[in-house]
Amino acid sequence: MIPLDELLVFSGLLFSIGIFGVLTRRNFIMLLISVEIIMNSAILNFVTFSAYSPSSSVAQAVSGQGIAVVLIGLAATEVALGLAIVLALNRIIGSVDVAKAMELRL
Amino acid sequence: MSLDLSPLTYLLALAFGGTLLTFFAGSRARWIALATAVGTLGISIWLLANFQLGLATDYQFVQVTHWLTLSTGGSAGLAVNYTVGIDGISLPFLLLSAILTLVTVIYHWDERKNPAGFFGLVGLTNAGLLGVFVALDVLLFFAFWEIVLIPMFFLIGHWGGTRRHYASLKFFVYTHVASVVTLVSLFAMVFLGNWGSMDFGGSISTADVAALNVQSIPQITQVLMFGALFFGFGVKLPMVPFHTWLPDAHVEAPTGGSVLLAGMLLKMGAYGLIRIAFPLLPYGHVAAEPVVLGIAFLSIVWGAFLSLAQRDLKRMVAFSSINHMGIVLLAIALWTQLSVTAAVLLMFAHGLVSGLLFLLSGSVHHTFGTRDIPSIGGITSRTPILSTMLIIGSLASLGLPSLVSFPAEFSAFLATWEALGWWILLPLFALVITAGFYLWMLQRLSFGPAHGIPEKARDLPFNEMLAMGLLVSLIVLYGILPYLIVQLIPHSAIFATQCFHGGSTVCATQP
Amino acid sequence: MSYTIPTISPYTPEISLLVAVVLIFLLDVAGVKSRILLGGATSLFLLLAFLEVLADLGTWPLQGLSTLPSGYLGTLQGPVIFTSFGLIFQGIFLAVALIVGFASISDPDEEGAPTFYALLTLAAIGMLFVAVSADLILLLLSIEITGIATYALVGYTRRDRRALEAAMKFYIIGALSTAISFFGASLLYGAYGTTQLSAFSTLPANHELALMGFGMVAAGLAFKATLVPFHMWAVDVYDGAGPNVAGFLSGGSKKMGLFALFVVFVAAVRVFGAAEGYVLFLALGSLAVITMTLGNVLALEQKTMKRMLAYSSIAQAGYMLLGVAIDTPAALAGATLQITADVLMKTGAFVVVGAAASLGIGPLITDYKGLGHSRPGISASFAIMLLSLAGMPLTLGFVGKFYLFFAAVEAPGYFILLAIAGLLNSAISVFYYARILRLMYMPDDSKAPASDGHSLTHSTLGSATGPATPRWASLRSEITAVGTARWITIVSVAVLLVLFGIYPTTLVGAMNSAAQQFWTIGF
Repeated sequence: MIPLDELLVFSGLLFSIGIFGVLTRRNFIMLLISVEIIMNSAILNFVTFSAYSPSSSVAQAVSGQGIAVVLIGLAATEVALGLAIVLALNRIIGSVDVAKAMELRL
Repeated sequence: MSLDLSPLTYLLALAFGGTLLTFFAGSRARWIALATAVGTLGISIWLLANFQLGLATDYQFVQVTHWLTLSTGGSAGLAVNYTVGIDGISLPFLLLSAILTLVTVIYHWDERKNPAGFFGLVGLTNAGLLGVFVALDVLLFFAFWEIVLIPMFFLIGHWGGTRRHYASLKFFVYTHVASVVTLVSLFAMVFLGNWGSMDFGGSISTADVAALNVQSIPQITQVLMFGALFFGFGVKLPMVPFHTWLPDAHVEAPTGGSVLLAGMLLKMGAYGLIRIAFPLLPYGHVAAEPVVLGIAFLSIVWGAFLSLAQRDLKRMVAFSSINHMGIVLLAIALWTQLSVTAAVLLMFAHGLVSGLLFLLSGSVHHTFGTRDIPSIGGITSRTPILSTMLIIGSLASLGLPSLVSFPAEFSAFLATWEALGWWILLPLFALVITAGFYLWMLQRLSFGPAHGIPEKARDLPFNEMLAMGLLVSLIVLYGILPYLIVQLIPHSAIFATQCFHGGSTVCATQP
Repeated sequence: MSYTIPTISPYTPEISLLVAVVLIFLLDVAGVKSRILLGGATSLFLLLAFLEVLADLGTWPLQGLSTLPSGYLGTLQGPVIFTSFGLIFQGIFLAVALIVGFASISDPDEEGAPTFYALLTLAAIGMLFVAVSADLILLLLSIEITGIATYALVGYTRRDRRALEAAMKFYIIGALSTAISFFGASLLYGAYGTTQLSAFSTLPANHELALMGFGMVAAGLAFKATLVPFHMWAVDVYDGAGPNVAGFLSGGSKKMGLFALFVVFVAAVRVFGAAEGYVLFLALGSLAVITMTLGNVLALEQKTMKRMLAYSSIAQAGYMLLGVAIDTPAALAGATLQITADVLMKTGAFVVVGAAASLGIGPLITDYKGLGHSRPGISASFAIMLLSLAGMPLTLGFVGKFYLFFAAVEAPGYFILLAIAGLLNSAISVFYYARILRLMYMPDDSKAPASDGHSLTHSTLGSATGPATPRWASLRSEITAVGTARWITIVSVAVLLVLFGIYPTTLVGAMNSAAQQFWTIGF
């Protein structure tokens, strides 16, 4: 079995990559992917902690995996909405570049 | 909780209700405003007639109704009540507020610029002022205190002179900042003093509160709290370093606004000092006395010299208010029965006299088109009534015997002599200057060769004459028979000044 | 293992709203685009849900109609818990949705109208679940349900470029903050082995992991609550969204974030506060002061009404954060009261901005010049809202601020400094509110002011003239121009502000006991 520490370091890395992407990318699709990477690091964490749960209660130990499934669904919903927004915006300004959408600065 | 309503509640209900009606009355606004003003004056006179002298309890017509309870850590919570009541100190202010409102309504009878708004705001000022003077609960007091600011802000800002926007904002900011400082200190007093409710009179006595304060608040904290309250109330007064909002506000305010501003709003500060800052923080005021006295002397002398330098009649009257309120502050600072009586009487007198003088400067302005003293002169021949009123007002202001200011200033100086001895020369010197600038103004304006009077200048119209006549008759009445108002005050002044010493038998019977 | 089959009766408000959503979708399919029908139906269902919540709270005159089994309050273990504190927030959220839903009836009919009402109702459902969550995951999921509905709500027309931009920004920030929150939740799950909020009230073995988890959850929620330094998005989003939607975000979605912060704090962070001493409270207090100061100072220099309101909304969030920074039941009650006040003031103010737009008034603050004379009804109501925002007495805004500052002074320790900072801030805020009042009621008219309010020539008694047009006629034309529903909303919000300002006794009593209970029992 993979040691707990390595899994945590891996999810921490995923989280950092996601944050880095959010901070540096200007393409909406890339931003979307970065946010999803953060979400996935959280999902990974839930599964990890569930697998290594010291709890004697089965319900508590398994709940992490249940949460992970729910979060995958949530992430999919979010992406669907994000794509809908970016499509509508693309139709108007003809670009998915966040830097081009700067009208809201007075 | 009881449903027995105090007459004071009816008074407030009438004032606020009448104001609300006035706002929506359109062209009939002035009649409703007049009815409201007469009604509040009527109730005030009824209160005066039914006010019992020499009772063992200080406050009368008390009503305590539960408003809300604030939860505090552990204990039963802090009650905030609707508590109203009056004593001999607040009653003269109620009368004064009602009188000046009536006078303002009469004087501005022909107001053309949005009369409903104007009369409504005047009524709202009156209602807020009445609230300040009857409130016996910290929060209620503060709420009414803030309410007064709003109509005055609009009165100056909408009906004022050319620089009205600047003046209204300056007025609002100065007084609002002062209020905020006041509020912190009031809260601190309630909590650090372990009050069970926010009442500072009525259900618990001043003596109890003061005793609580002395026991539970460290002296240095008391001094700090007193400093904050003194600043907050002093800006309103105004005391000298913080007086600069006053001339601007006065010069730009419409005449009626000036009357209420000088007549009543300045009194709120002094009333706060007498009612809250001095009696409830006994250690604080003893420690701060030199500073308070210093500021009082500074205000007196500085105000007098500044008035002397003014060319604008209204500005001159405004600065002389600083001088007069300095004497009031001096009298409060001495904090004896006599001096507090004198302070209240002085404020009553100043309310009537400065009201008259501001009406006059308004009339001078629209009769002659200017308020610049040197550019007009000899108005007696063309406008004898206006000139006569001006002479009476000026003489009253400089303290001529048989006019209302005389007994007030006399008792204030008597108290000063008793307490401070030869320091009295300083205010007396200022009094000479005051007399000097009023007489000089009269010499240039009323007498001498006529010049600078426009062709169409006519004497006072009926409504202005009525308004001024009302004030003049009161000035003379209370000048000749000062006991009519003086008799109310000393008894309450004892409660205010001596209870916290704990030695007085009067206070022991306080419920 | 034994299961207790949950009764559905406690969920009547949520079920009512679900029925409403289904109904709206059906109407959409049937081709109904009329706002009167759709908005009327939505408002009715929202009102129904609101009354159900009031009944659950046992409010007069609905006492005895509660759908909660007796003894439910604060005792149920599981993902859902019905505390009176949560129920009060359910009421607050429903009130926001009701104000926005009813006011928007006056918007023009359009293709997207059914979408708008469906999304609004969906967002309200999410909020209702936020208020009763006893499990961190359910809390965050409910927040995201509301989040997804509101991202779409901002850009629901799909044509307005500014609205779409706002939707995009809101979406990115919202999704990011949710992801961060969930990451924090996963760490907490690791530290505690469960996500039940009640379990968080003990110190875990792995102290650092839990602290990091709480930090991340709180940071994610701070985005929603527009606390500095996570506030940047709010201004752009409120500016770009339609006024009604902005009102919903400021009044509803933001308050939801604050509520979640309260919950997480009461459930858990207090434990660390006790362990770490004053550091945590100092940090929270400083954050509150920084938020209100920055919001107020930046609001000072804004030129458009919406951005000004957005910054003032950020400042208000600072005041509300005091509720947990001070760490007493009184402070929590005060914050709840302030939230209630702000819901009415801010949502009402944004509805007024919408009304002004429908009157052809531009977005700039200076465009409101002279409104007081041309449109007396909405101007007077707006003036009351602004005075309430500035904390003037006899309005609910004063009661809320007063209670908060009271709590700060009353609490032991350094908290009096917070009260002073708050009071100074409210003094700053008076500047920009007073400026609008001055513009509305004292326009710099070109004609010279009459000297002393008098003209040079006198007229005799009785010749004064009133305003030229009769007041009621101008009021009637105003109602037609603004739209009846919107006008009624604006005026009733103002009336409520004053009514509760004069008689807050019942409201304060309910919040006191709810906050006390929540504070001492928790989950």
